[in-house]
Amino acid sequence: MIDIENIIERCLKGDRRSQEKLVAHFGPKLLPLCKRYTRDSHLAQDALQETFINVFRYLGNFKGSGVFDAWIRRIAVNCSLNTLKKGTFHYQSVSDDGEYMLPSVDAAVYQHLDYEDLLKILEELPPIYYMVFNLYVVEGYGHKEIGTMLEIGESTSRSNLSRARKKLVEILKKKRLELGSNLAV
Amino acid sequence: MDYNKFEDHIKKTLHNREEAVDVSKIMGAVDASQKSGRKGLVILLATILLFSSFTVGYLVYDTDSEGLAAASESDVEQASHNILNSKDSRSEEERLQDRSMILQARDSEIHDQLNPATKQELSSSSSLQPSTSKVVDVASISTKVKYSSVTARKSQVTKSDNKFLRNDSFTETSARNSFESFNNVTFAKQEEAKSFNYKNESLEKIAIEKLVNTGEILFTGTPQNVECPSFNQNPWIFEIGTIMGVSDPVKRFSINPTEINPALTSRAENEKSLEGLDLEFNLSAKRMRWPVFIKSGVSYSRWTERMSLEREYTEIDTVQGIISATVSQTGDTVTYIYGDIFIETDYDIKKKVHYYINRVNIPLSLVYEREFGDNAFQAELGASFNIRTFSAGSVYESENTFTPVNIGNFFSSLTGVSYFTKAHYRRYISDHMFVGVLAHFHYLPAEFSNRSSFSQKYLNYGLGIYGGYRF
Repeated sequence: MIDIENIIERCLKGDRRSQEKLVAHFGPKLLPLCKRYTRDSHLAQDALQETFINVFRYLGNFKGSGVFDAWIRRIAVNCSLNTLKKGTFHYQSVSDDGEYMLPSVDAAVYQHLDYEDLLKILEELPPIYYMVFNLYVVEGYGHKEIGTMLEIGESTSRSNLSRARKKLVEILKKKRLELGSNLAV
Repeated sequence: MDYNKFEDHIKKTLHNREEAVDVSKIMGAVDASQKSGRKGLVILLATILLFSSFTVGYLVYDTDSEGLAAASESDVEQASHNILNSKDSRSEEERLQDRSMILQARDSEIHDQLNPATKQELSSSSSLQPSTSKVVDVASISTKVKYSSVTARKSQVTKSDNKFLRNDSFTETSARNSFESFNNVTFAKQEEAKSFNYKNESLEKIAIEKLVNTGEILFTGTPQNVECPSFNQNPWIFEIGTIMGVSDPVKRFSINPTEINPALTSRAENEKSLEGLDLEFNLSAKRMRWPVFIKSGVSYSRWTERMSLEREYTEIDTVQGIISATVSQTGDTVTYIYGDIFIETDYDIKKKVHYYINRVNIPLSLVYEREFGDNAFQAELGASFNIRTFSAGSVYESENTFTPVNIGNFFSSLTGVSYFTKAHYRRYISDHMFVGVLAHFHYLPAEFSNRSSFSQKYLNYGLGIYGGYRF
């Protein structure tokens, strides 16, 4: 367990070893995050570098009132999204009418799914669903924040999340059929 | 099983994932970023250092030159002393002959300079001896600066040859005094007209003789009436000037990474700085022989920012309503199914909106000047103290909203101290008037943004023209 406050204090004084400690501690956690949002290992590396450049540049702004982990993750998400925007990535509007209610999912369907499996399932979602789902479910941001991040309306974020969930269950059903499982979804 | 548990599983699995990273590669990128940030500061410091070295070097060199100049002046004085001594060692008759020859040599030239009335008066004066007339003419010219009436002097000097001869009884001291007075008169004339070159050695000899002779004639008995010329060879010079110019403000816009606002991202990408306008009134105070002087005044600058907004987006609203109605075959049962109804609206927005940043400053600078005849080059280094920054126009704030700057309180009303360097070329078009062109660079470390969500800083460089008056 490292003393984050002490490391931050030393980083602010320009101590290189502390900076390296900070990178070594948070880098492994942030790299998968960057990969999830950029969906590209090279772009993820760029986003991760940009994240730490911004972390050291704005470390003085971190007042300690919040959780450092949340602060740094937020920077990583922003950098990942900005990295995407620098490319040719555009969110495609998906038209999908209909009602949707949260289904019941049997634990046996997903309990055996590891990180790679879950990521594969999520990546089958349309990009906008994928982003909204990740930001809402994994990162825990609200729809207002997501709307601001992705430059979409708050209601759009909400409806996209609903569709993402519906689509996710459909993918799970499909997976179940592929696996020949008799698991109920 | 509850669907929420499925999402919790996803969150837990994805959130806790860790992968190895290359720390040295990331630190390399961080170092490179920090170095590039310092580059601007290093350039500025190097410029200041170079300028300081140059100025100090020049001042040291100039001090040596002044020493040499002082030595030269003492040599000249010694030489004139020797000339005067040698004159005293000659017989009175020889000195008279020499003087007569000198005066004859100048006679025709001086005679041409007299006005027709004087010439006529001189020619009509039959009682004068030729040699005496020459002395009269020299006296007229040598005291030209002091008196305007040649005829008045004529009557004063045509008393008799005895008066003239009494000049030869001058002591060495009085002769040297006259020589010094002449030098000062010479300086005064050079400053005033710059039209007569006294540096020719033969002319200097003539002038010495001239003053020795005519000074006695004109000033004997009334030294208290002589107006002593200024001995200050390094007077203060003041200049007032007006500069007008254009500049190219280079904006450095960055978003606080903790802020998530697409409008800021859009501003960073699409907001462009247009040309700036500069106006300055300044006053300089300098010593004539010093190459470095101070300058201050009041300056005004106006920068324009243009936001080009081009947005195409679809907004989806969700409302609850009847999405299906089923009527039974008998017609007595109607089933309504309620659900989300999605309404998609396409927007295509194209706007160009400006805002302006106006600054009023008090610049204070040191100027190094090097003159080349009527031309001069100046290098200027100084600080500018902002006394007021005010903005106008509207700033892009959120998705489709431009907020007036006075409402949004986007920018600071004071932007602190900025630092600048200028390079001038100027030409003196008369003794008092000058015009010039300049190039300038401003480094503004101050934060213009009044908000924590974004940072807005500037560099500025530009060109200007100016004119002024010196006195």
